[in-house]
Amino acid sequence: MRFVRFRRLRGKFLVWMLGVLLVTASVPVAFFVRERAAQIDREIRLQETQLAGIGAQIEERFAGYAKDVIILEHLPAIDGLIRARDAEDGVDPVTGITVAAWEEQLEQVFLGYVLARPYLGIRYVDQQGREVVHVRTPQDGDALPGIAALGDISTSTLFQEVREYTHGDVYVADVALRTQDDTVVLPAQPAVMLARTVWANSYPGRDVHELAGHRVEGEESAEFRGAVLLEVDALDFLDLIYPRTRGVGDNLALLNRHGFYLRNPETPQVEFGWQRGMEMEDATSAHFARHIPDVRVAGDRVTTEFEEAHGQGTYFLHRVVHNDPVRSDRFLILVAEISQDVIAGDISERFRTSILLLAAAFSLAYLVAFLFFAQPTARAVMENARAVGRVATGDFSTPIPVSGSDEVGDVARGINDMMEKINTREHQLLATQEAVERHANELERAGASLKNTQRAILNILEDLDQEKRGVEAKVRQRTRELEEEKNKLSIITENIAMGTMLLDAAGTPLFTNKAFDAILSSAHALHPQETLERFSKLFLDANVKEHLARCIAGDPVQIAEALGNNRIFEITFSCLRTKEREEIFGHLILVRDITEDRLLAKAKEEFVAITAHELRTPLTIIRGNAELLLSEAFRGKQAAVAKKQVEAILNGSVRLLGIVNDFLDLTRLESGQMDLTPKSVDLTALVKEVVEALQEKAKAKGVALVFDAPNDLLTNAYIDRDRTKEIVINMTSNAIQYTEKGSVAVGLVRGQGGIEVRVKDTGVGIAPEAQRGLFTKFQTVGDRFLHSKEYGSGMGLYISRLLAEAMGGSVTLEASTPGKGSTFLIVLPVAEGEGVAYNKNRKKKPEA
Amino acid sequence: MAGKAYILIADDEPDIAAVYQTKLESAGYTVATVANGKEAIASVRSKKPDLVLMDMKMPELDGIDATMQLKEDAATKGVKVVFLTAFSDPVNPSMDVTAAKELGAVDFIRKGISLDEFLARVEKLLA
Repeated sequence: MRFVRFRRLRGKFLVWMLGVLLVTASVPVAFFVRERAAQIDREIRLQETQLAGIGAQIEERFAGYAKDVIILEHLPAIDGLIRARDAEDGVDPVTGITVAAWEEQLEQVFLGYVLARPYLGIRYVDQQGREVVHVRTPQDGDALPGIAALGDISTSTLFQEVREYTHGDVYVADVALRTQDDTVVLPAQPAVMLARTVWANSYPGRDVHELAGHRVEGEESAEFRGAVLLEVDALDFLDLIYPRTRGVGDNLALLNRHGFYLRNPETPQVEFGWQRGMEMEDATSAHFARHIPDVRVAGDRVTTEFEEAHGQGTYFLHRVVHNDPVRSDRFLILVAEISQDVIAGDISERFRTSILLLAAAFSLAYLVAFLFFAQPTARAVMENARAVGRVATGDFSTPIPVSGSDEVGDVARGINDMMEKINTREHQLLATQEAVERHANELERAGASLKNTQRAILNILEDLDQEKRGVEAKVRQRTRELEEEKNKLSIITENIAMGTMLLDAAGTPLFTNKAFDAILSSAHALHPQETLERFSKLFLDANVKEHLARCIAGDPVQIAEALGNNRIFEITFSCLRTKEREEIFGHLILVRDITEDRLLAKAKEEFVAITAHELRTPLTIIRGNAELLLSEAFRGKQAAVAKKQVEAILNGSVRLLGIVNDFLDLTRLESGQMDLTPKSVDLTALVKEVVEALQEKAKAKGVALVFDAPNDLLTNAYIDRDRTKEIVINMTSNAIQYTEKGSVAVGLVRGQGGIEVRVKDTGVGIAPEAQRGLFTKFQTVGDRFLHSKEYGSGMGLYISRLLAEAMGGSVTLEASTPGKGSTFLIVLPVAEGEGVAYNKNRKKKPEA
Repeated sequence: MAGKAYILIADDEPDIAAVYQTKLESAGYTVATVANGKEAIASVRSKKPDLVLMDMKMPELDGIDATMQLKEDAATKGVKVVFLTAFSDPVNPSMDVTAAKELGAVDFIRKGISLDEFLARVEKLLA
């Protein structure tokens, strides 16, 4: 019995020792574990960021395809061509345009696309498989072959497949590769595929090639009327991505549902760094068989997964870059494969060594300590143990003999203290019990008086109830009124053509209108959860949570162009705040279908292009002949009259050509498509050149044209030379035009916002009320103030302003006094370094 | 002397071709005109001009294709081609000297500029 007690005590002692050991040891261990985790985490974040960048580029590329195809599908020129070809006389009954003319216009539209996208080839093939219009990639004189090279198109697989397309589907299919010995290899399966295999073909002389096509339907019936086929040089695609992929993982792969992929192996000798259609290594393949469904279900494209592959010591980062909301078999996933060793190699090594050393040191220290203390303490421990045995039987009165001043003596003293306290406690408990009984009696008496009070309160409540009934009637009436208001409001909201969704402050949908349900392809309102799910599936760009968070942080968020169901939408997220306290009580999501707007804008641009071409040709004939006539001597009595008449014809045609050019410039500037090439330019020389060129015009009007050379040397301006010259010519000749006598002075100074060019005249000036609309469309100052032979198209100032703004500068009216003159100010950016491109439209061609 | 140079104009609009022909001839050049790309290639093959003024949009074979074919053939590869065009697309206003050069031409002249400017450009290209 005694022996057992002693053993128990020694056991407690050992447990205590072990506890101290563990606590002390865990501090450095925790430190190392944390350091390792943080390092891995940092590495992974870095990789994730890079992956996100690449993913976004790929997405953008596919979104670009989708947009092109949506627009190409609705070309008015194709509809017109079909109508004209259907007509017996070959003339479109709607517009009166012939087949040949429609073909020419379609070709022009295609050419427009091809010129801006040098990797593109476009053709329109009719329902019999005959090629109607084909515009080819004009790259290095190397062209995609004509339709003849495809064999009998009407029986080819491609054609049959396109026939079966759903209206508006986008297909991107085969990618072929030319190997080092110049043979073209086709994969057994397409490498990148958003849909079915459309076509497997290769072009000798082209390295890589993709094909997309879509079905053209008749305007009224949905019958098959041919196909528009887009041929895309996929090298461009790879070239676009590759430079960004360096440093991301050991392997970067783009996978479709078959697991076939494009990837960048480390082998630097592979041209462009990409191989395609390779069989996956077993480990990777098994990994994706397990995980692709999960990554997809996670649904939205920003999902990034991080994990340790089973037994492989490899991390995988996933990013869904394309996820067709309608067709579950169409998706692309970008995967980075990162070996664990790369990230954590040397950290693990250090970590293991440290743990081993620490463990050894602590074990030794505690073994020595135990041996030193255990021997002399044993006897005293035994005595205490006996006394403790008595305590255990309930005897608190006999104290334990205290011997010595060591730890064992301390234990004995502790037990004695405790026993004394227990005795005191017992006495206190008895006293408390008596007190409780006294209180119980008092409470009984208090309960009786409470009952009386209760009765009194009930009486008062009854009176109040009477009052309440009157108030309730009023409330009911007000509620009815509010209900009516609400009904009116919801009827209005319900019938707004714009998709409207109201959410509560937490982001849960409360209400959707008919238009919104229709956009989500539903005839009725859906369950809130399903509403959100369908919404984010339809609009991959619209992460509701993310956008609402951004909107709470500040301004309303707008997605200018979201694609879904082959339509283009504009989505606005806004926060609803209470007026008084700026508190957010809900959110509003508005979805507007802008497909028609886009088509209209496209049709307008097409119209301007075609009109400009059609006008320029006859105008060139008129102008040319007038110039030829004027260069010959006029003879006879009528010579002077005839010469004047021909001059009038010439002036008229020059003005008309100017207007046509203005219209074209305007369309480009307004659609942000103006092609500008910024360079460092000596602005002083440019202005001087303009002043010299306009001297003759000024002299003819009797106006002095002065050039104020700058006092100090100016830095160069960073501008598009030709376009800037146009602005300066425009502003200076305007000044001459509206000045009858006096002078026009053009000067330069270095200002705060850039280089300032001032054009100061002593002309008619501009009335204050006319100043406001000066730089807007179709405004001329002239015709209101004086009768001049020359009238502008009314777009000169507006175009100058837009041009200057596109170059990062401005054109403004600095001062003007009617009857005394005006000063116009042109500000242009200083050239601080070459290569700062402000024009994003210009596509950089890969170096040949 | 530049005035003796032989220039070929390919344009399907005879009135336009006539205007430029008259102007160039008055400056002393020898000028021939053709109405499409096919004729232009045939003409270049039979007599090599110093300069071809090539309309971009023509029936049968357009100016771009004709230029590409001229550039593919070793015999006609060296001929100087200048695009003469009324073409302009506000959506893709990339028809500039760079685009013309990518298509195999040395320059492009937009229709509608004054005949004196036109002549100056041609003289500069032949110099």
